Amino acid sequence: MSRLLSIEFRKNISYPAFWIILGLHYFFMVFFLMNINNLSASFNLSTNEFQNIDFSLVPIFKFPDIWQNIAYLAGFLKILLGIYMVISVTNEFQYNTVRLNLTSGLTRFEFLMSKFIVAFIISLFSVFILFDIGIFVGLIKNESGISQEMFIKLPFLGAYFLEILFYMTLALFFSTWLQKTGISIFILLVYPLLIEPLVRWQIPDTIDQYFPVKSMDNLNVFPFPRYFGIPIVENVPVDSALATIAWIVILFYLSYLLIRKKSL
Amino acid sequence: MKAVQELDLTLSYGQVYGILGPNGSGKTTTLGMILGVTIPTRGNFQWFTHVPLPQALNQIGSILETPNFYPYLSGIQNLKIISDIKKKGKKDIENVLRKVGLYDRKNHAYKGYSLGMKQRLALAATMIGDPKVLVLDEPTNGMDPQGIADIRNLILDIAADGTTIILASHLLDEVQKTCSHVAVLDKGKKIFDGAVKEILESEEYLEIAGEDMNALLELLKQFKGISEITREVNKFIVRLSAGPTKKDLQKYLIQHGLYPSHLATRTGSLEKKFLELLQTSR
Repeated sequence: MSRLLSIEFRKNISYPAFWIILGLHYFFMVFFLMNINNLSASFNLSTNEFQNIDFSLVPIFKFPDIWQNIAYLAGFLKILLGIYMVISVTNEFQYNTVRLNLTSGLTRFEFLMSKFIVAFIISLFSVFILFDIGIFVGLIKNESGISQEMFIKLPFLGAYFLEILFYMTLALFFSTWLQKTGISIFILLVYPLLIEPLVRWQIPDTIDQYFPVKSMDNLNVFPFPRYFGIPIVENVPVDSALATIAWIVILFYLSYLLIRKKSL
Repeated sequence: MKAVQELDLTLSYGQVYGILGPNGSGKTTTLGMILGVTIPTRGNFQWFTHVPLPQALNQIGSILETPNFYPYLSGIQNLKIISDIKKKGKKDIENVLRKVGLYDRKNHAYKGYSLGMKQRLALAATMIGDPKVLVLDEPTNGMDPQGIADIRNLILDIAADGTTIILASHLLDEVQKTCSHVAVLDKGKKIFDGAVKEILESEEYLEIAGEDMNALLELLKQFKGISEITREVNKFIVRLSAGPTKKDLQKYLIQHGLYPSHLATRTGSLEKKFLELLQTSR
């Protein structure tokens, strides 16, 4: 395990794209979440529909709802992490370094596992950053004060963890399958927005909620209708969390099956 | 389409084993299979009598086709990845970089290396962890003459330490100069294997000339034990079959009153043998 981590670390340490993509991701996370009230205020000016509501006054940073809100918003930024994963895997095929790895004694399973371990650590680190942002912004705005209740929605950080780990595993799967950077990124972007929704179109809700992207989406559904008095899901749905974990395992195993018997 | 079929090879420790064949004859496919990157549809192989593949690779250093490294990493960073994969210490790294003459450029990014330097780094990578076997697929491809000479000397040095070496090449000269044994492949099939020395020695060619070339030819035709006579400018090239030696021929000619003005052994070349093998197999 530490061997695989060390191998991946050495591959990335001097790779500019790694630092640029991760740096951008965390910069956007901090910038976007810290300024969401200003952003929503400018959104307020550009639309007429909710003229009576001042978005900058919506208490999205109030404990404990803040965890659900920032986890939802941060989920939009995961695309950069998916792109990092695609580049990390497809580079190995394009530079043929996967051969170097295999002929030096790494197994195909270990090769994929080293990528997955990095995805796991990046996901953990992102949760850590998100927690810090939550504490920092939450206390600065101090819309609720310190209370025992302030952490009860912390499980949404767990949902956020599963969401980005799932997304990076999906990226791992597409890039192991397609092996080319451009097409892998394209499919990674198009699959959740177009391909899976089209497949789900005619499938009843009871089944389609267990589709990969749908399971991930259901972890944290758009929480803001709450501020217009519309009831929302207040807890992380356990069946969605289990389905997402199952898909992470399945996608990893499918990636392995793709190259297990393949000449590389 | 089968790239390799019915190929059966056995190697012993300490051999420098050449795999010779024209481009596309299945050399890289064969090596890819024993290194675990190419999946064979049928057949099996064994390393070190019963060591399974991923473990066996810890004791094998290999170059497969062109050198493949992380272009944005330096030479030394690339080698550290390999020593991590092989679970070997880092202390070998500077040493092997010195051996291949790349020490001065160790901190430069791989993408800035010339083709020759890339080959040198690949060779350095094979030596990490003091492997028992080196598998080298066209190790001098794209190098300048000095580089080729350096690498060949290095291979001979390594072989002198008792390391087993498998060398695939389409360069006959390379195999002839470095290998003790050779297998010749064509279209994925083995058409010959044996000791290089044997091939070269089994070919006893003599150059022979005399004042009266026509009389000489008549005498040669009557001599039992000549399998082939070819004419070159001012001399005949004669191939002796097993049995009679140069001395016997000399005696025979003198007995018949012809004193050859020129009689010399021509050492066989792998190239001639190789072309012959290819012709007979096709």
